[in-house]
Amino acid sequence: MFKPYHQNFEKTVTIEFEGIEFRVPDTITVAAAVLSYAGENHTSISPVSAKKRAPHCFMGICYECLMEINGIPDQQACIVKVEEGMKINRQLGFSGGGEL
Amino acid sequence: MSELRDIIVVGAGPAGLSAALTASGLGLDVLVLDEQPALGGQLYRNIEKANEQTLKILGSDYGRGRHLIEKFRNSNAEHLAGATVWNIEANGNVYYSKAGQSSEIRGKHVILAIGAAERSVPFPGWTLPGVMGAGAVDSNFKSSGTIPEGPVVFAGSGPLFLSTLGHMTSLGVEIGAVLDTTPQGNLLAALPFLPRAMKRLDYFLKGAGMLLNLRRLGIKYAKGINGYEAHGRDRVEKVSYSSKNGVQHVEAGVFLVHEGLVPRCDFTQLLGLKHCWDAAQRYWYPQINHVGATEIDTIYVVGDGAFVHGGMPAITKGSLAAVDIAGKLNALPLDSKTVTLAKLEKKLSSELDFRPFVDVLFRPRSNLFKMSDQTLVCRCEEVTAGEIRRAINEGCLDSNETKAITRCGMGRCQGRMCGSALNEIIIDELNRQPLDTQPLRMRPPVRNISLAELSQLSLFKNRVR
Ligand code: FES
Repeated sequence: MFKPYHQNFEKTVTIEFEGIEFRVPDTITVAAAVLSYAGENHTSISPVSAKKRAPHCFMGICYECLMEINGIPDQQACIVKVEEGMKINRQLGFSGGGEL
Repeated sequence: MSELRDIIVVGAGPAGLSAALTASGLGLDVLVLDEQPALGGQLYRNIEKANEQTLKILGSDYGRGRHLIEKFRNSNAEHLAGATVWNIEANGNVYYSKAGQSSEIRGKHVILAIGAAERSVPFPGWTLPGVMGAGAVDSNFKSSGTIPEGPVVFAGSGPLFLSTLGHMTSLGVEIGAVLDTTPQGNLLAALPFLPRAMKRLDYFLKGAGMLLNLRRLGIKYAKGINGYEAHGRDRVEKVSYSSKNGVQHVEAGVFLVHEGLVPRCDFTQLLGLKHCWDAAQRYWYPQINHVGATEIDTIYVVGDGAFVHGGMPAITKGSLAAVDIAGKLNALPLDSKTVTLAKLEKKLSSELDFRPFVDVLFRPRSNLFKMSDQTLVCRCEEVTAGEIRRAINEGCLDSNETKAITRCGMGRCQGRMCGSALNEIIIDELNRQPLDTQPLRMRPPVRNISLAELSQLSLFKNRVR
């Protein structure tokens, strides 16, 4: 959904998204990394219908980017910056009536 | 860290940084709390690490932030990044969460510099992955250096819409179409404000240059659009839009929407401050005086969170509040306070020359919130406009009652995405004046934190109420 425009970053870090390692610029947020470097189109699923959801606001308002970061669930991936060795997972649990 | 500070500033954007560095320059002890990982707010996001290429593309509106942040770094003000404030009390108590732990701190004064957010307007398909705020993607570029993969379709109106469009064309983003929703009668209505606005000829030239550039690049540009929908299975694939020429379609990999900016009022509403309604821009804003003071002596509101004026005015508004507080805390003699405030007010007034024209020129279309019954209004709990209308017709009289019955506004975003749409439906269905309606009530915690974190919160030992 996103691609890097330039690669001139002072520093990069290695993160792990769903078990696969990626090298990403150190200024990037988790949400941005998932949608570009990891090549994903969604970050979460609707707790009601289990439909796929992705960041809408990129600034902490919509909560469509809730992910598990370093084992802690429900983190807003759009306001958390990547860090060396960070482990990121999508949360696939939901409470509603839809089907996975 | 001492528990009582002279000033706690919430938000490290243009207004917050300016307030903090002005106050600390006057000898006050200032702490800035900000939930973003880096200084700069949305406008100056990640500017300390921006490379030359990015600075060139984003231009002086962005680059200017460097100077402000440099001054802030050289001041004595303290900054906590990644600190999400979730409660503020009238006595100056501020509660925030950082790295999974909550703390309480107190300010003699609290300056709210929360900023603005893109107006959230529900339409069919707006929950599909790939449908995003245009400003959101602009901000995201600043910190990540990534751009959306096309074809990118733009829909909306307003200054930020145009500047984002300009940035994305300069970045070589593949643009599928630009759907301008600005009502075509607005220009005529804005003409009386033109003479004052002409003082900022540079803005006109910038806008005109941008539109010419679209034409030069052969980008499809449609005016007078009065509605749009996103279609797709697991992500947006197509956008349909309507105008007086009927309904048309365009392919889309990403759909960027922007229907203007609105002040973020969650904390001012939580504090029970009086809010006014701006009829031109259709939004609530907290009632403040000329220096940003509210009816609660401890609390000030500055920047776009007080009224959307843009970056430069936000900086001035931040300084105004800081100087006023310095006077109250005896850090500044009365006569120099009066002189400084007068200077700043004059500066602000000239910075606002363009604003009345822009506010009317980009007045939102009248059918903005006339969504179909099938449209999901509440993204989190998936409540449709039809369900909301039914509840109202069965007797719900305000947003809070409707929320209790339908669950609209009860999900993880706590009504931030659907709150204004919900209130607009009530205005419509019950034929109310906006000022006679009661928007969703805010309650702490105003940001989501875990129960475990809440239970571990250690409160002040000598708490004063
Ligand atoms: S993308 Fe909206 S809260 Fe993270």
